[in-house]
Amino acid sequence: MLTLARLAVLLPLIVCAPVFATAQELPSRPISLAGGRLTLGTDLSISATPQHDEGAWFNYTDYERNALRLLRLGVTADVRIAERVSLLTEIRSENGGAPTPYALYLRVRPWSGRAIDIQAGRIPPTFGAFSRRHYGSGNPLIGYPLAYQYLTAVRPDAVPATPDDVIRMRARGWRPSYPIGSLEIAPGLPLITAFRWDTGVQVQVGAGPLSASAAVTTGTVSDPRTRDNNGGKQISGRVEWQPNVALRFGASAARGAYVADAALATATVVNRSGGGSAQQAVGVDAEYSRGHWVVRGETIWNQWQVPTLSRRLNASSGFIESRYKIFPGMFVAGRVDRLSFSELPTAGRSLTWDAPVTRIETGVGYYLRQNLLAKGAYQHNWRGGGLIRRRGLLAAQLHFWL
Amino acid sequence: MTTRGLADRLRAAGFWVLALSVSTLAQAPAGVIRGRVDVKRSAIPVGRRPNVNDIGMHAAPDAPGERRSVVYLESAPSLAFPDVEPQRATMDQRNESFVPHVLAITVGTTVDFPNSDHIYHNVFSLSTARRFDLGRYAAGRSRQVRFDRPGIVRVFCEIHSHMSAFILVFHHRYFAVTAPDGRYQIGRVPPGRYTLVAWNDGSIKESRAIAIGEDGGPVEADFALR
Repeated sequence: MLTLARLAVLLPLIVCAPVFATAQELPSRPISLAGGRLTLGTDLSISATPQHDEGAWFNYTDYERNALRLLRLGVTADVRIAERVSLLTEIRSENGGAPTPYALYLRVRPWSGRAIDIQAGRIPPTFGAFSRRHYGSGNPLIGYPLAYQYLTAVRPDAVPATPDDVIRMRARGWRPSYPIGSLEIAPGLPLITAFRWDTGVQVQVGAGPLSASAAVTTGTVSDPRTRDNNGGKQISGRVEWQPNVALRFGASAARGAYVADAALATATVVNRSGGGSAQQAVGVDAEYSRGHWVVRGETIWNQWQVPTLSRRLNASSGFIESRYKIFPGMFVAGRVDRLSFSELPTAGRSLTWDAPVTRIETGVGYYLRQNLLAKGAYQHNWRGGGLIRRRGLLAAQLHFWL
Repeated sequence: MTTRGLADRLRAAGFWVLALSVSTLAQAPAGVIRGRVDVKRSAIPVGRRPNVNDIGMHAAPDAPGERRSVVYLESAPSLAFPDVEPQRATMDQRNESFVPHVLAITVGTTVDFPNSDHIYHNVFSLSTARRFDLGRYAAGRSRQVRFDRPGIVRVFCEIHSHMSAFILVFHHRYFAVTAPDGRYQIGRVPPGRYTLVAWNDGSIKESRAIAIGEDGGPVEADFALR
């Protein structure tokens, strides 16, 4: 059955078909309808790797998909309702699955002379820099930074009873299980997810060299939600400073309840002197670009409180990436990435609560057209625990957008 | 017609130059081709690519001059290159638009690409007639590109996907970019039979045969591009 969502994804392709036919080449501009009131864009990408990542799960996402083996079709739409009111949406389908609204929000600029914008709905993340980049053309490589994708042993709907429960789940972020809360098999949480957006209200103030944004949302940076599962809200904020066109600095912070009510209720019964249920994160990022170079770096410190543990689960991550265009239409890129965890003492020993991971990824990109990019990359992962401690992966990606 | 197809035709125009008699044309009075190009199709409002990742509203970029057309002789007469002086042209980057949106130049022309915005731009082209990437450079700076092959060069900004422009590079000087009202004039055309082409925004073009008499009188040629 052709659902409304599927039709929404197919619509731009149907509209594009005559353009393909008459121009005999790929369209390069967004589709504008209704006198410019409706603008449609699209993002199509296919990523493939000849190797399996099963068993190690270095590249699996909280959508339970391999980021290096992914067919993604996205349609973006900007409906200009009034001069300063727009409805924006992005509907995505991954690996042929049901299309889902990745973004769906109203953008309002209340005063024409003031750079204040309000966005409400399923909104872009306030925290961090990577998750707001265009996911295809903004990512010079194929893999994602560890902080935004790698699954840790923390779950929002299941809670460990003791520190030993956490240690047993080291390097098992793909399928961590705990005795309290949900007994269903489900993936753990990344520090910040790049694959789902949160629901709430966001305000941005300022333009030019200094801008600030703040948001109140239903979920958290690791577990964005459409429907609330714990009654707690996340507050997040970001300040960005651009002293000149070449340089940009950003600082972000977020705090919100991430443990589901169902798990929290059981955990409170087990341990009344619980350790809280909040996630809090702080991040700084920077970007420098000049000529044919772009260099970016981001570091994030994250903490999960666990209601049954007195110790908090800390994690920190940092990456630096660079892209250099070697000649028109071709670039090389590389990223060095590290995700580490705090120690968690147990009865017999003290280990980091999850296994630290290091990732190096290098790649090359070639523009077949200005909006058709082919990428190839090699990624190597090292992990300080688990059955599989290192894995090298080759990947290729073709990405088209308009 | 594809970009490559037009490039081939523009190259062919160069061969025509050699084929025609120099002495005859040098003596004959030159004519004028003039007229109006009416772009019948409704202007396609091309805005920004919807970017849901942005927080906040962007100012609308300047409306590019997509109504401007280029009228040119497909096969040029001899003596098409009396101007041996190196030519210079400018394509500005202003309010997140290329100004002008359409630029017509002769082979050997150097085009300056100043950045008049307070943000980065990254001008590039992947066209077969001229492939280049100027990298990111700041406000007040300019970089230049010399165009040595005829053809259509599509110009983009790597950072702002809504920015695009055309540079048409000719082997001869018998071309004109239309005024805002669609009018054009090509002067000093030697007597002879030619194919006159009107082109607009890469997607539509129309051609017709014209003749410049020995008396060099003006020839009117209007186009209605749909």
